[in-house]
Amino acid sequence: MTALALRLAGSAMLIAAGTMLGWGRLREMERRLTTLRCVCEGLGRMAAELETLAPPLRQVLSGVRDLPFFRLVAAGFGGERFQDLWQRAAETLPLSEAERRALAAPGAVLGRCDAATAAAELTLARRALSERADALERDIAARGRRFAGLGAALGAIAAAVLF
Amino acid sequence: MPNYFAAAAALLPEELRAQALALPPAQRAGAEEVRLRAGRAPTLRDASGERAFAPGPVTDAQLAAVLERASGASLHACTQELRRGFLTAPGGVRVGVCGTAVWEGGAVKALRAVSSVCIRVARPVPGAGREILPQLRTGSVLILSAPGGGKTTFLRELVRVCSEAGERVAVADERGELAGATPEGLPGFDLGKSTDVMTDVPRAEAAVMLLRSMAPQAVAMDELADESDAAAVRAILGSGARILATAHAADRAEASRRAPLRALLDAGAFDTLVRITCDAHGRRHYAAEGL
Repeated sequence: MTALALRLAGSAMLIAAGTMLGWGRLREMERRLTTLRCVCEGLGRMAAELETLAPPLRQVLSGVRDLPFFRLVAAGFGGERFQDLWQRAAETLPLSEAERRALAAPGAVLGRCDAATAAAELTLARRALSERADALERDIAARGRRFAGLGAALGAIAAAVLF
Repeated sequence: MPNYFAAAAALLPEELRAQALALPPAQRAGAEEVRLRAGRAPTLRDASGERAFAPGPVTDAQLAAVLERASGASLHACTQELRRGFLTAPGGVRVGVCGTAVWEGGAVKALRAVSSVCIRVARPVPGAGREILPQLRTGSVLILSAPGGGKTTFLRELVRVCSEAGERVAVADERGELAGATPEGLPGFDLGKSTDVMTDVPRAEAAVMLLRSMAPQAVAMDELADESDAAAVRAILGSGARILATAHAADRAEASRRAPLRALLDAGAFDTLVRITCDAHGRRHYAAEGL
């Protein structure tokens, strides 16, 4: 009886752990998606501001400081070289390497060119990241639940083998 | 006491800033300009000449760093100024910029491939030209000197003295150099208790705006140059206010080579001409001549 109870408990834990791993992967994807959407919103707002009023960058950043990445950039503005600040802030985000590169690209031109070029660079980055976000969203819908199910299945298999 | 040299040095990249701030106090106190030229050693100019203050050579990245600091990482918001070859950094520090022009529609659209910058150390000199200031309390005044001769500094002092004496003075401060405007738009230099300042507006337009809105008794304009400035001067004089102005020219003959200034001088727009000269020891001399 005791051995059976232990095996059942062990099986349950393996299934739970497998499920948790699957859900964990799903959560990571969702966090990345939220970050991408947030960044895209900020880039879009910055581009719009530069296209219409072309105010100083400090003012543009104050208009998006409600968003996480941009809050970091706004807080550090005026200290180090702007490109380095933007790059450093991009590296704090839970994004893939390619996504960070796409986000870092406008940092190399912002403040060094005319407003139209700056807005165009921001729009380019926003478009690239938006496409990544759309693809990730489809990925989550198609595979996200499968991850959880797969995790549970692997746990069940492991439990069956042990049992 | 504000540190004017430090305000100018703050625009330099870190390594050059440290070297500039490590200069002897006397050298820092007398500095008038810091110049960075690509491929050359960075230099400091004072009344006695120009000398390197660091080994160099100045790199493109260092020039870009100056522009980033001077523009607040916002060259896109400084296109008007850049077209005229300068930026005004916070505190009224003027940064002259040399590079390759980008043309569009027959006008300079932007500057690219910046090759040199000149950071002017803006500082008030209370008491500048005090020996002639009493002669300038009435009538319109034109202040002449060669570039870098101290016209703006003297005009600033003249505005302050007149304003402190109760005269309502309006300043058309196109480049923000006279007032040394802070990022919040407030005057950084003391221009007197009765002074109103319009910054970042072309001086001719600003002068007319000030005439309509601030009822000035005197209007100050720095570096008269073209017909729009001359038209503004005529409008000011027509309103009953007097004009306190500067122009790039060593003397009246040189000023008269430019048609707008010649027309004003010939029409008797000014009552007093002030010439500022610099002797071999770097001391400035002020001479006032009634017209």
